[in-house]
Amino acid sequence: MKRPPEAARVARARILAGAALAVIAVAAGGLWYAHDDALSARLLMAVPDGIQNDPPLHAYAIRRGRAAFAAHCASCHGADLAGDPTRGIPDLADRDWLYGSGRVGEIERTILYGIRSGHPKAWNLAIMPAFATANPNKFYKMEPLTPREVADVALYVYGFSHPGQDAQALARGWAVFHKNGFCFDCHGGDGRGDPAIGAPDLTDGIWLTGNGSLASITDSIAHGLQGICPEWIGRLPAATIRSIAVYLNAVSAGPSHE
Amino acid sequence: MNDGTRDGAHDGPAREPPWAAGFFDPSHMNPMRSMILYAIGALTGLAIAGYGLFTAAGTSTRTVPPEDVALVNQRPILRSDFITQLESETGLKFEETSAAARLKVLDEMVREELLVQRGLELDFAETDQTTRNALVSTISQAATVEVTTSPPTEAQLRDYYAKHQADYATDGVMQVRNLVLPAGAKPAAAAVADQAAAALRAGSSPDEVMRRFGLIEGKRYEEDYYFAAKYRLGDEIFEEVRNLDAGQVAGPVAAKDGIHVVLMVKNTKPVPLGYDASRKAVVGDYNTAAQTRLLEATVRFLRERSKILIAPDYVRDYRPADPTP
Repeated sequence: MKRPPEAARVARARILAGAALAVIAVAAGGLWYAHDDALSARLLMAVPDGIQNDPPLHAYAIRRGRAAFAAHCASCHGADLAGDPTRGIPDLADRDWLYGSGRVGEIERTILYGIRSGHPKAWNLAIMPAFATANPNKFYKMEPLTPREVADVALYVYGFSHPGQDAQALARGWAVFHKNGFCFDCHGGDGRGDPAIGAPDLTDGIWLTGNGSLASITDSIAHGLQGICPEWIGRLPAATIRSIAVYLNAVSAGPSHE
Repeated sequence: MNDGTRDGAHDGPAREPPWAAGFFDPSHMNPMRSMILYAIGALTGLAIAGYGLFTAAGTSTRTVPPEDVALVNQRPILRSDFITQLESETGLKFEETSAAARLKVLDEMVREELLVQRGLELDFAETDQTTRNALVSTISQAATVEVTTSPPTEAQLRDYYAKHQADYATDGVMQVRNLVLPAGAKPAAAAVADQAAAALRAGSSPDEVMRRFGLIEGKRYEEDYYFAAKYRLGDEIFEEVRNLDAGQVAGPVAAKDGIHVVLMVKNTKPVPLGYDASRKAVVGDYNTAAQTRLLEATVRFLRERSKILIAPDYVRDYRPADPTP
């Protein structure tokens, strides 16, 4: 049975309109993809610390980085980036950077390779030994400390931000810090840490784990710390990783160690 | 010239060519429409497949991807690595470095990649012990990657804690006086040690007991964690003393170096910790166990797909190790 000419014309018009819409949608998608691809390429080829001087590119990176952070990082660091000191998860918005000084390139490297992630290029060098165990550092031969030495050096560290502690105990703690505890090796003789290896500043009142109480410091010295951040290279596009780095750099409002 | 017979002007309305008849009418079968739709489908499929093929990792390309600063035999040198290397070598921020410095470091990285690739060609990974160690370490650590990328749920952690609850307690701390009657010191050594222990239990001081019965004491230690006390006393004596209260005496216990009589000076026994207080340690232990499991699963898989021949003098006793907890 043949359709009447009018019905055929309507059907033809609908099909043509549908096809036109499909073509427009594909073209728009292609244009968007090309635009996004071009921005991604620009982002990746830009000097990391200079991205903030290119407002459209910076805005693109922030938008993309925020979404990627929410999808991949917020489960540990929290949607507000505040971390969780009870679990040793750092606050990413406090301007205090454990590794490096918060520059985009440094953050990008941490996201790419992680921290103790198992990737050969990860931040693997330093761990906080567990001095109340038979083998405090599984990568490096170290002697354990006695309970009294742990207590003394904990008080010494506590004294950085709480002056007026017992002088004799502080002197014993100083000896442990600078001698058999080897604390100075990572944290420096003045306890101010070393962002080149991820050794925290013990004098600034910012605590990666715990609340800075004497008990909490004692626990960290006795049982050690070695937090983990996964590597994202190969699992997220390079432009997404850089976007997250730009986003975190912007949120934390720039370097803190300079 | 128009002969007036083919333009249809005299046959009424213009007719569609046969291939176009019902082209847009879904109720009308049209072979040409079918062919065109087939062609569109085939071209779309080819385009998608081609995109996938030519953008997949490892695809040979003549253009350097934007995230890379160079490709050496298709092996990328990441811009991020380049920046890190450059800043490390020059001690300057990337934007402060000169073009000459950047080119120098880039060339160094290209050169390194070339030499690494040559090393792989020469199979140094097989023959050089340092490279072998590095490979074993890297592959072992790769198990960590799986663990870090899929953190345990709270339920998994609580389950692990429930199964290993005995491992989570405060640190036990003790201080002892470990007195020894040296091996072969006296003919009736056992009897003397009995008397020394009895004197200690009766309240004599360790120094007096040593003087009266000829016992000696090695280096005297202050309070120590259980693991350190165990190391110094030995497993057997430690088990004898670990549950003593201050002032109680263990022994005599015979050992290689003589007969020991141990006075407990102070013993702070471990107190079990709840889940919340143990959580940090539980996460660490859970991850360590997961890494071990994953590594052993990898080794099992490698064993299964490999042909391993053991020499006749070892084949009977050889058993693969399985340290999975």
